[in-house]
Amino acid sequence: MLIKAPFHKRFDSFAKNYCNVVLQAKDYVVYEAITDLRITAVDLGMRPRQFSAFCDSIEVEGGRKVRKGTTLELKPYRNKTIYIKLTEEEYAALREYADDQNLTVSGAFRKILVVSLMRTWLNAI
Amino acid sequence: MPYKIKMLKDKGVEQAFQYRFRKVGESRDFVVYESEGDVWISPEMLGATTEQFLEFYKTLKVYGGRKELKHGQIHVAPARKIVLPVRLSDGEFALLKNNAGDEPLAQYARSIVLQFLQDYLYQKEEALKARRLSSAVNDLQ
Repeated sequence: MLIKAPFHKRFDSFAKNYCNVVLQAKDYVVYEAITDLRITAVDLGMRPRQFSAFCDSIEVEGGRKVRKGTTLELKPYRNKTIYIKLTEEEYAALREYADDQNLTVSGAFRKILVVSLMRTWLNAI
Repeated sequence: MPYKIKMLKDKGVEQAFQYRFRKVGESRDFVVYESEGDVWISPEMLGATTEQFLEFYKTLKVYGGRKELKHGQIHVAPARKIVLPVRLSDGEFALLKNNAGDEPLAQYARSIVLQFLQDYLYQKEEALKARRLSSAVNDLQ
């Protein structure tokens, strides 16, 4: 997912933790993100109206942006599907974790997997 | 869900299996065990030659589970009946593929998640024990 955003110091330092910088122009920066990003107005030190305007100026390719109040989520399209076979015992354990985290079973699996993948990716860069 | 294994009677096998499986049936020639988790059986465990080991593998019947020969050992495991679809972005998929190397993607993803769940449930159980203990101590005071 490509994110084109006007240069903002706090957004830039946040994005650089999770994205690669693809292009750095005078007024804007293009980042490449692998997974979902979530940022709030508080993180950026913005007032709600400022935050809303900043969100409007962000362009996303290969994904979508969702703003709910003072929270912005940038989500790449999930084009690929993998199928995991589980025993009933394994499924029950996963469901227990999902219930604790208020997630769906599939969402819980995704979360554990992606967090682990991102950790190895961040260690590597 | 426990699964059943039916195999030829053998003293060596019986000795090797007494802590791994629960015996639930017996006839003149066969014995039936019950288990819940994955079990690996090596030729050394049975004290068998390669031919005897393969013969043993052929006679082994698994109900509610599956058997396979892997890395020169017999792997017996419960059936994986539940199929869970997991949707990933292109970037996540590429990262998974890169990390998995030669291993099948689903198998690699499964191992990561099950390892995490094992730790999570263990810590949850430990925390529960600690809470029970501290409330028991409070009750005493």
